[in-house]
Amino acid sequence: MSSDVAGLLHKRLIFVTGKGGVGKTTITAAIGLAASHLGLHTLLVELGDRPEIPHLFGRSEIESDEAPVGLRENLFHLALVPEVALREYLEIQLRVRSIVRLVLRNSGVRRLLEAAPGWRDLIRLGKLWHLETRSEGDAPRWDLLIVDAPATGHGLTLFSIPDAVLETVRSGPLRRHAAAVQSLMHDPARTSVLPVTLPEELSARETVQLIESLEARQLKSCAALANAVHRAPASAELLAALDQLDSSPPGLPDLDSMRARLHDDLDRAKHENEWLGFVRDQVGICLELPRLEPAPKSLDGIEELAARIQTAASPR
Amino acid sequence: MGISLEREILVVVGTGGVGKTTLSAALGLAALERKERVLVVTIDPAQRLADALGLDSLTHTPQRVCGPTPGGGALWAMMLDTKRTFDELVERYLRDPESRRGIVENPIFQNLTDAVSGSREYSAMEKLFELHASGDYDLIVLDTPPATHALDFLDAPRRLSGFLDSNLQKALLKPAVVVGRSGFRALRRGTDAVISIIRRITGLEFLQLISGFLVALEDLWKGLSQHADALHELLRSERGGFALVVQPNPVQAKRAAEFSSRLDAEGIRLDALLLNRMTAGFPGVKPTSEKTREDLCGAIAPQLPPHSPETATALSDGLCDWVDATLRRTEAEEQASLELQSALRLTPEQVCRVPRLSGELHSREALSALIPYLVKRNDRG
Repeated sequence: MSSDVAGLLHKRLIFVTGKGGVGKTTITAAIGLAASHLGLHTLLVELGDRPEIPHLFGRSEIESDEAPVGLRENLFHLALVPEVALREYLEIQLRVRSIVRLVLRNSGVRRLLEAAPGWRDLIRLGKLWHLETRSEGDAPRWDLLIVDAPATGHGLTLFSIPDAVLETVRSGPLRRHAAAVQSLMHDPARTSVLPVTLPEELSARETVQLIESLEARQLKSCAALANAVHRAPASAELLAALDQLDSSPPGLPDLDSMRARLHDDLDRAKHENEWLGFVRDQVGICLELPRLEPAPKSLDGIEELAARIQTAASPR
Repeated sequence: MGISLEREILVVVGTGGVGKTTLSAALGLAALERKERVLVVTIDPAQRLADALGLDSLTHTPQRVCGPTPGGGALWAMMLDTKRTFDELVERYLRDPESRRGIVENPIFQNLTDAVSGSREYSAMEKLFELHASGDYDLIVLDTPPATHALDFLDAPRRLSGFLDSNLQKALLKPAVVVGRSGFRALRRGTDAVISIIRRITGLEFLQLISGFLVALEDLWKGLSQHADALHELLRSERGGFALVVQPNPVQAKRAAEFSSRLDAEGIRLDALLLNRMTAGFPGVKPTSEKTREDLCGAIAPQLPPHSPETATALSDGLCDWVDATLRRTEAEEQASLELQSALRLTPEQVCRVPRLSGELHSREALSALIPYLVKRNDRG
């Protein structure tokens, strides 16, 4: 188990994906925190203009959508806004800002960009490639980029957009750039997809399909990370203890409702184990993280998850 | 409490993984008490839903699920295959083989259909229009595709039209045409300059491919836009309704305010908020005190083998911790529910609290267990 997580942190670029609602953003933040504790200069990337991670670290306003913002020692955040990345790309390509403005202010161009939103995924990957290749002196600018990627379906579209461009465009700078991005995406030493799953049927099945689809696209995935695994304090022993009582002491719910709830919880735990087993058999599980109550939308919760990731990544 | 099932179309929206598909099916079953012919349209190909409805699999055309019931209602279900619908639309609207080839042989159609705004959304809208116009159903419950923004399916088709009217598009397709009127000439010069700049980066070929694809879609778009507009009107009127499914947690509550302004911009009122998978808690119970723990320990100890006080303490603490954890969860959920209700400016009657039911929903009976949480009491029977 530990080698999987340690191996993951040796990559340069991690895409955290999975079915909607599995906790991708939380896991992105927790892995980032763990990596920064281990001394890796880490950049967390969210792919939209409404990032959530800075809020988790107590920042109410987003300071910048162009430059990475420091969250902790060794830990930075970037909201990768496609419109901004497109302008930066054009500025690099065309060199003259007034020409870039001319292009981006053209109403036809604006409408084309609206009508064919596929460019957003391409520019997102392009920006990630740019971040990955940047260096300071002899060392890379970032040791590790962790991307809070879109959910499974859109994620697959995102990952394979260089392939689509290469099939469509036969020459020119766009083709060269798409080829560079594709070689980063296909390099198992640098890039890995991390599928996050919940211990339940739909997300378990989607995870297995996702990993199969990634293989078909020559993309490296590590074993699934199981999130929100019930640390059921509910156990058969508690149920047995309840059965010994004639009535419940004052201050506690009545025996029947406690019994019913405990049965529900045990039932859920059983189903969860079955679906965890399914994922483990099919594609493997690199790490199980507990469900935190209430939801881990505070730094304490994320610190707790990060500590577990760090333990799993450390040599035994 | 509950959803008005008086509509002709009920659109169920929400982000991925919140249980839209299951609740859509349960709403279909619930509607049988009021309506005669009900159709549930889902985008999600989950086999589990087919199983729950007692079907081998969901198909691209409506299949009868059950009925007529004693009340006379019958339920149908179908799965909307958007890619296939889009292909059918291309076939139907583009009778001219050349423009059909223009689309089908375009590498973008093969690779990037999804990347062009609205192709799937158009398909969903068109299919819904068709099903409604057929008059075969009194109520259609539509389970929408999961989207980060739950309303994308409404406005994605509109974005395509903007480009089709633009100078850039015309210039890309007919670079050699000289436009006569002087006002146009100035515009064209600007556009030509822009095209030559973009060309340096993408190559002209790529621009023409994209443009060609969008233009080949123009006929299709013209055929569909009237339907899309009519459907839009219908959904805004009393005949259409929207239900939002969420899981009550703080993140969802934060997103709700944004969603609310989006609804306003579309001119849509939300009929109901369905809070799904709520924890069944212990109403009226307070977090456990030291005294309760000691009492419980005292009550458990006599039942255990003698001289095992540690076991009694462990069991008592275990039970009390479990009760407290359940209370914390229900409190957090309730807090998020209230935030959602106020952000969406709904009345308490418009909010349905649907509990997380034990076991999996793998039969019609299990789905039916959700009905009392979805429909108004005075609407039933």
